[in-house]
Amino acid sequence: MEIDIEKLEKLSNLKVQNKEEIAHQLQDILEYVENLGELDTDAIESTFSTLEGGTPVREDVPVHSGVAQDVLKQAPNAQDDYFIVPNIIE
Amino acid sequence: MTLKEALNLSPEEQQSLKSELKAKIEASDLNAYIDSSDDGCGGVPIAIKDNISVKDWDVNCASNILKGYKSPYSATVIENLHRGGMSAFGRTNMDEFAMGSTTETSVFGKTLNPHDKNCVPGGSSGGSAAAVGGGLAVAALGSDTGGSIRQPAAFCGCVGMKPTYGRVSRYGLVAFSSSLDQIGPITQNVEDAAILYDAIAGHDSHDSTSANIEYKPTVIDSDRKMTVAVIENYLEEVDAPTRKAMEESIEALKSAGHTVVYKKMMGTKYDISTYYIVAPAEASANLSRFDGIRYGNRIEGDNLEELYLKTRTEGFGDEVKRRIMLGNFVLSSGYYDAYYIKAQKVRHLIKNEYEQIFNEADLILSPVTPSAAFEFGTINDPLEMYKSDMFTLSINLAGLPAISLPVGKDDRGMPIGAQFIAKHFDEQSLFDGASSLEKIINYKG
Amino acid sequence: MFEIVIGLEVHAQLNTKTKIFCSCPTSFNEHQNSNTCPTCLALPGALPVLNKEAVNKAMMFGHAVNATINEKSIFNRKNYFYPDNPKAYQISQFDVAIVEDGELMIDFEDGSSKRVGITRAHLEEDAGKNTHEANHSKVDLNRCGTPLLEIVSEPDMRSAEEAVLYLKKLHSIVRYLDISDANMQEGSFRCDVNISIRPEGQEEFGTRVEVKNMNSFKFINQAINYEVNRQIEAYEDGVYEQEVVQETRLFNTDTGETRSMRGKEESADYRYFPDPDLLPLIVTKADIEKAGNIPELPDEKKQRYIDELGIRAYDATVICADKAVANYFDEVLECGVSAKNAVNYLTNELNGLLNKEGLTIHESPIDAQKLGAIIKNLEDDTINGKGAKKLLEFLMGEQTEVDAAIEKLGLKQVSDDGAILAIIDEVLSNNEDKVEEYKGGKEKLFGFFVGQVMKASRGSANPAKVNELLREKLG
Repeated sequence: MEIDIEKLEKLSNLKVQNKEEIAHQLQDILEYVENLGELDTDAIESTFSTLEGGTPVREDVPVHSGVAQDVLKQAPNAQDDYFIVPNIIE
Repeated sequence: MTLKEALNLSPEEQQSLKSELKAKIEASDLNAYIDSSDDGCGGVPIAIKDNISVKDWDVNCASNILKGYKSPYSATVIENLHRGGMSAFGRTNMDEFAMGSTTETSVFGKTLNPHDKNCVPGGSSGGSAAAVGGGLAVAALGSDTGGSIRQPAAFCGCVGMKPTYGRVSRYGLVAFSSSLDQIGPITQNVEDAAILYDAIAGHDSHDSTSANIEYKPTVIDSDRKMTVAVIENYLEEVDAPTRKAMEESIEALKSAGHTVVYKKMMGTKYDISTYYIVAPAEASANLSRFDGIRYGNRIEGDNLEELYLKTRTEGFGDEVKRRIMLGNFVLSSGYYDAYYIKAQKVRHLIKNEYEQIFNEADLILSPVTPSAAFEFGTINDPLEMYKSDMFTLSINLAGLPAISLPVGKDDRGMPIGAQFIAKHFDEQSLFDGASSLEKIINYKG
Repeated sequence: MFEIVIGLEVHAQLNTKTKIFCSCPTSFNEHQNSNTCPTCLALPGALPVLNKEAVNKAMMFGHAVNATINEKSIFNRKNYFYPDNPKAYQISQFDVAIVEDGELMIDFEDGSSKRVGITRAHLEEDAGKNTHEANHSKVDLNRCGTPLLEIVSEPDMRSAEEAVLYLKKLHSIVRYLDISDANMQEGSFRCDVNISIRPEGQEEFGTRVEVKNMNSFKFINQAINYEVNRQIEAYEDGVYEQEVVQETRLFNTDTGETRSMRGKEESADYRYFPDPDLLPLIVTKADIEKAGNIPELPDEKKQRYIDELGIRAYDATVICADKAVANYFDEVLECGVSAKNAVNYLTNELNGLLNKEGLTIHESPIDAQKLGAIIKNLEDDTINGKGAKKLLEFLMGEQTEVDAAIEKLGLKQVSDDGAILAIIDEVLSNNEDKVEEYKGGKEKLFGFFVGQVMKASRGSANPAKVNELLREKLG
């Protein structure tokens, strides 16, 4: 199993310092988990949740949360109640 | 002072209790606590793991990326605590973003095991378990995704309980693996665990994965006779002291009049693989919101791309990065079916396996860990660390409730825990069985 | 020659009161970040809870386009980093959408129709808004979490005209259902176009190019034409493979051209997986049935106008194209006037006056009741056609009641036989020589007499009556 560590860094939007070591560790883990191939799951459905039933729904009634000011006040970079980021080139 | 006793104290006495604890915390070198924040409410102080939101508290998940983040809202469990005559007191240490089994990955440094400071307290709720096990807390809340309550409780000689998935609201719990996470109590004894569990459990409309079923408070009946299934292949995978403690527990159960049956399960290697595909996958998406834009520890960049990269590179530790990348791998195009979907299918098999056993038994008894707490630096390889979770993972995958309690000690005097597992939403049987065993074993810390 | 293949993706913002996964009010142009909460701010520990009304509106749409409404569908996470997407994933639907396999009919001017398939419609959350300054960008999350219905058509359209007709019909349906404001300028009805060409006769589809950023039907038309030409030219110049690649292009409203978006080397891997913070979206047969109580749709209304009211297909199409116009029309009819006059006075007379002032039906100074009253006065002979027109013009500028205006302008038609006969007598006696000529065979002079009577009555005589009585008099 060849790990493309740079592709994973890109998808994860982060970098690791010790690329080779981490790649190796990930490789080991991925090789280990291949043991699932020993199990026959052809007739089995995926279990994405251990709960039964459908997602609950709520009434369309507005509620003001009151957290906006707190969040903006402690935001690392906010001006005029906007969150500020470096220029996005579109 | 147990939780039960503390709940009967007067408000003034409860305040004194807080001051006493504060002094103990300050004097302690266990590093179980990050700080002794107070939520300003009266009631019995309960220590809170650093991934549970308390309004106006720093909530960092023991990570650099959340340094400076103060939560503007409280988790539902905190509101429930207040209603139960308790309050949040003290932030406990944990593995970064709950990813780990020793609390070593915390940005606040490691927590020490109160029974032997050279040993790990377990993780990821190591701080909560060390606090309770070390007499620095009346009781604590932790979170359990793959064993993070039960394992540290076992290592620190206290009781740790994970409710059925959906029993306790996750609203306000910083998500690690959404379909596996649950908040639960870490306490000095089984009765306290039931009290704390009762306080926090119940349907919450803020959490779409909160079970909307009838909830009845626990009434422990330690005389109730039950059928307990022992997983025999697991007994072969633990070290000698742990095996001895398990056998003694089995004998104790028999002598108390319970019926013991022996069963086999598929194999922990499949549990490990399934868990270490599903959990990192969900985590990789859950941790994507940490970018320094709206809150947290931002590292500036010349452009947007740099902002994201620098913030997340400097903000996350290696274990977290490993799991995020692992998660992105198993979800990525070309691998999704072979890894993620495969794992979710095996998860179904695991769930079925448990259902089969519960057709014939009320409870399952199993080890919590392969050995008692090991020394710092013993396990360095990530995969080896993952494998040590072998007995706790499948319970989260199946969404079942489980409780770990101390049942013996190894040759070094380190606590050994055993866990009961019950059917979905049958926490009552869990507490009945644990209480029964606790009485007979009469473990002294 | 070439065949053009077009598919359309429309994102319609649903007009629910709250966002799709949290109870924040939906908003437009409110103070930045004022309608936010832990969930849409993506704070640690926050969780989504689905809005019942968003589901209902999606099902209503399903009924309106004859689609299958799936009893079970799944919400997935679509993972990508962008500041207006605070969780760094968008909750959307991927393999199983709530609505699938629908259709709508587009109507051409010559009266023919064509069926366009709708592959699916699914629910998802909108992103926030980024605005750009000189050296930084600003993020406003008010819009983040607003429910969207993404409607995807089959690639059934073969021209810009068909594409625009589809969009207009879709727009109309969505407005009739009142599930969305569907305002293209405000961003509640966003269209992305997928265009490819292939040599006539070729079965295989050509390379599909997506074009975004057009907020009017006119621009969409322009963009499609430009892009089609670009692709055909590339083919004819032998550089199709190099020039036409599967990508997203932006339409430049100033130059009328599409251009490639910078720096998009590989397509994004969104790593879709079912959102573990939500359970499957399950709707019961009863829910689905209840959502079927939808208002009359444009095609039904049009057919009813044709069948029951005897209106021409063309006129019916024009009226039904805009829900506001259709509502206006229905209200005029409620005044008890004939469909024929209602059609004429709405689509010709009033429409002409509104167009001159650049007003829409919403802004019309003359409401449906007034127009109805004008027509009623015409139909009961109180005023004549000329008078009606004068009245309309007058009421564009004056807020008077119809009856009062008729008085003021002296438009009351004289229909009284006696009064008219008196004028006829006067006119005939003043033109005896002409009467002689008429009686001698000059038939054309009849018109002259009518004109003279109308003139003498200052236009207020009932023309039909004048004709009738003159004939009697002249024999």
